[in-house]
Amino acid sequence: MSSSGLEELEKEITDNVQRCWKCRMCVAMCPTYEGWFTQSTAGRLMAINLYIKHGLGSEEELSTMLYACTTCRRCQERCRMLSTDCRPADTILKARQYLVKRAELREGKEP
Amino acid sequence: MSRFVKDVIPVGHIYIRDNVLEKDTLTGVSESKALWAKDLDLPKRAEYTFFAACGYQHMKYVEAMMGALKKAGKIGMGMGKVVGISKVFSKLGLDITSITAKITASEDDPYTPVLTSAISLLRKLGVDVGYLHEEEPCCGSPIYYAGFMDDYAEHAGKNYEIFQSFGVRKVIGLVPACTAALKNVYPGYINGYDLEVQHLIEVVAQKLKETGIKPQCKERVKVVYHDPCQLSRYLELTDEPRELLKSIEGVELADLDPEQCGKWSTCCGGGGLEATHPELAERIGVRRAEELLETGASVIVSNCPACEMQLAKVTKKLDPNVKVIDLVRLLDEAVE
Amino acid sequence: MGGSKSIIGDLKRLVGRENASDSIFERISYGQDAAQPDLEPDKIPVAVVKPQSAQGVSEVLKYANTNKIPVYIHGAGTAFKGSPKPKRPGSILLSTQALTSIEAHEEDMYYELGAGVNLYELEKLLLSRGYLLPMTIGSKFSSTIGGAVSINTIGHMVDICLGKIIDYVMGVEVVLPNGDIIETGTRSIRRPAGLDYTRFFVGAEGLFGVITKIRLRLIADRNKAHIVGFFPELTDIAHAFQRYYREKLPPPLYGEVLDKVAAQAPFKLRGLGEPKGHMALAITISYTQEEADRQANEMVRVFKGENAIDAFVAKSKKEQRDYWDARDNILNILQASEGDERLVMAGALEASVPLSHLDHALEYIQTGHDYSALKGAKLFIYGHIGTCDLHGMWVAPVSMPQAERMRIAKEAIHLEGDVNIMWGCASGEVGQTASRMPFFKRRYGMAAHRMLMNVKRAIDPNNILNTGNLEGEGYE
Repeated sequence: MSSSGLEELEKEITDNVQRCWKCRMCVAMCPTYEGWFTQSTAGRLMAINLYIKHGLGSEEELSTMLYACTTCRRCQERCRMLSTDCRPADTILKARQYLVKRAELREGKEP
Repeated sequence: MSRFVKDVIPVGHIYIRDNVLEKDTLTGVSESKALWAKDLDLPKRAEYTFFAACGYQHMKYVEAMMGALKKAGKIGMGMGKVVGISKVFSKLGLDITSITAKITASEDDPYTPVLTSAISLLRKLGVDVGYLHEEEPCCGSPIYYAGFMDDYAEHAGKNYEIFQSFGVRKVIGLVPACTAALKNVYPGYINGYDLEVQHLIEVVAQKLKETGIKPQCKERVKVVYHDPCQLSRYLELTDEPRELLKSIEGVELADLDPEQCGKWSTCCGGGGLEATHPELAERIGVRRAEELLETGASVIVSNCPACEMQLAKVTKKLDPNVKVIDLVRLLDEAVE
Repeated sequence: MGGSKSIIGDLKRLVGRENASDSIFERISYGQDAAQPDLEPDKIPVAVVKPQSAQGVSEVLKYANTNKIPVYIHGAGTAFKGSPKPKRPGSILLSTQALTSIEAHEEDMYYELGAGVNLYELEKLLLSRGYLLPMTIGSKFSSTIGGAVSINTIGHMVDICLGKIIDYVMGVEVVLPNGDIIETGTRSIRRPAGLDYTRFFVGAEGLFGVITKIRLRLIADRNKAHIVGFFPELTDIAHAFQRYYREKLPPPLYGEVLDKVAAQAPFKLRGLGEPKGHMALAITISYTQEEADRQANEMVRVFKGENAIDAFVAKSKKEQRDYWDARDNILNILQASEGDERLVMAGALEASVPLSHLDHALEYIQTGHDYSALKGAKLFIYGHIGTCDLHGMWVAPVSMPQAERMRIAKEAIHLEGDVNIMWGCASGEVGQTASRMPFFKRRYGMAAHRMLMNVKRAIDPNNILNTGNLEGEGYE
């Protein structure tokens, strides 16, 4: 698995989020959750999915949210045992890769 | 480095990336990786290679660096601001080597002794290891988690070549994240990857059973074990540390809520988060420390340098009587 | 009424800066639910508020009422039949999650709970004090007591065993659409006879007021026995429960079914091997363990008399937990694959039927109907068969085009309505509004619906609470 193309990353991310049932069982597990959805796995998944599909939100907001994840993977364990195993922690990491890749590719296009 | 990346990726991650790719260490400090092992007589080539990694060696620098960065107000997301960290330091009139020179080992540094304890423990159990000394590369985990896939792939490939040139086949790792990287992540990036990777705790647990040695603690102590995320969920090693702790005479292992330990262990907020969201990292640390302290234990045991640094920092404020100690040091002291 | 910018400013003044947000991702997260994961960009709420007290809720409702802004009420927003989603543009999403007060009054046999108290935390707390929480909701890790009470649901539990949650609600504190804060009910375990308008709000699905506090009567924990059975046909399980009740045996606390194909992934996850057949799972309760065990043995006898391949009382805690989790963590069924592709939910059904028609309903849901998209999709059957409530989930590979999945979703809702109407019932678990309004109108008639609309208009003249749910907007 070397670097995925941008489109491939988009598909992997949105496919995973399609498998997310919005059951929100991951929310209480997230160490960064302090009362607002965007501070949890579920919120991060919804955000990256809608950013890719509908262009909603800003890159800066998305980045702040995604990099607040501690990569502890508790959500992934929870989803595996109690829900659909949609690989939320992996998806958040893929989302970071997506942001980096997009920024790197943009370099060639603007002066 | 694309200027667009600097707009989107937190400045802390960019700084660490530069360290990893240019200096091959987490902190960019150019202290030799052979330093801690200078009196240990470890060969570079051996059947088992000990992978010390940056964590335990560099934690002492990380604390000072984070402190200086915080004072300079240069920590955090820093988006849209292009901040060269070396520029920061020189602006502050600080010289990074002078900071590190001020830090002495042992008292101020509970981390490097973990490495010497690891070798001592392995030897007591009859396991001889080699060590790559100054040739040991940084596994690259920080840039993997930051999302620099292409850089990581290249870095991992180079590392594998280094391993091959020293005939490395079997690896015993100590820092959970780095061990997990070599074991679980590298195979996906390197064709024909053939390294067998174990974590030290697996080896110790197995050897202790074989040798029948009974570890003993000099004084009776009530401990609580904090499972590092990387060890419990990425490496899936939750039973061995507990078995080892229970096998030490004199150690009472406190019970945590089953939804807060083992594979459900609550994250302590240590590691990379401090470079990007320091206040959040502290709040997470306090929440975890409170869970651990509720057990009434006087000692927190863990085996990850980031967890130990984080927990030591927050428990100092919550209860200065509580100590944080690495499992490997505890075991080394308990085994003759 | 100003634009969105001024709304968020006004709300922050009313509830506090940290308790209101207009971040796009926050607004979207609260505006989505599992039933319809597609986004309708024009229906995203303009702000999310989390009042810290009933007074805060009152301020928000007064503001919304004055400015005629729709307000959608969430506990955790996990109801999956369309009710949490905004139906109108420009709405405020009001979350009761911050209302987390807990006051114990064990000497009077009740607890007073803020609407935002988490169900799982509550369950653990009550158990630690020797009490039972008289509901088991699949989404308990995220859901709130306020949400459950607003739908009058007990989730998995058998209604005729302990009753529905309204039987335990001694009173509520409610904020009316005009901001008035009122209380209902009593502090005595003897509930008011006659006019007790607690009932106006429990089960009212947020149409008439925002419940901010609940006085919950306590019930002591019981001894339990766990029964597991495997059957060749689903209708065998229906016959087993029909017989159990025919013999006038005491209702179990749970009577569950999980079809053998659906069970494969959950069983695999827990190392339970291949399911021997369709699984039935029951839990009997009593004050004494002997009595619970005796009922359990009766259940095993009945199972065996209805073709069970195997039926036994699960004795070890591990066995009890594994089989229960395999059924309870139902979303594990979506860990199944079709070839290389993982499956997602396309359509869902939840219908209640009279006891004597349990077997007919199972047949009808599988093969008796004419819906072609459903017939072409893979069906998982599970549910609370012991309380005559059945679930069906039609699943599709991730790659199935959106339009096809929507067809399955629509047909599933229609089939659900058909099943409920065929035998004169209504769904027993997740509420009747939003996506179920077309069924509701068919079932009870337009005269009844007009009456309800009149009541709604009387209590909420500006139609600000959960606007569109009673009308069935978006689900015509």
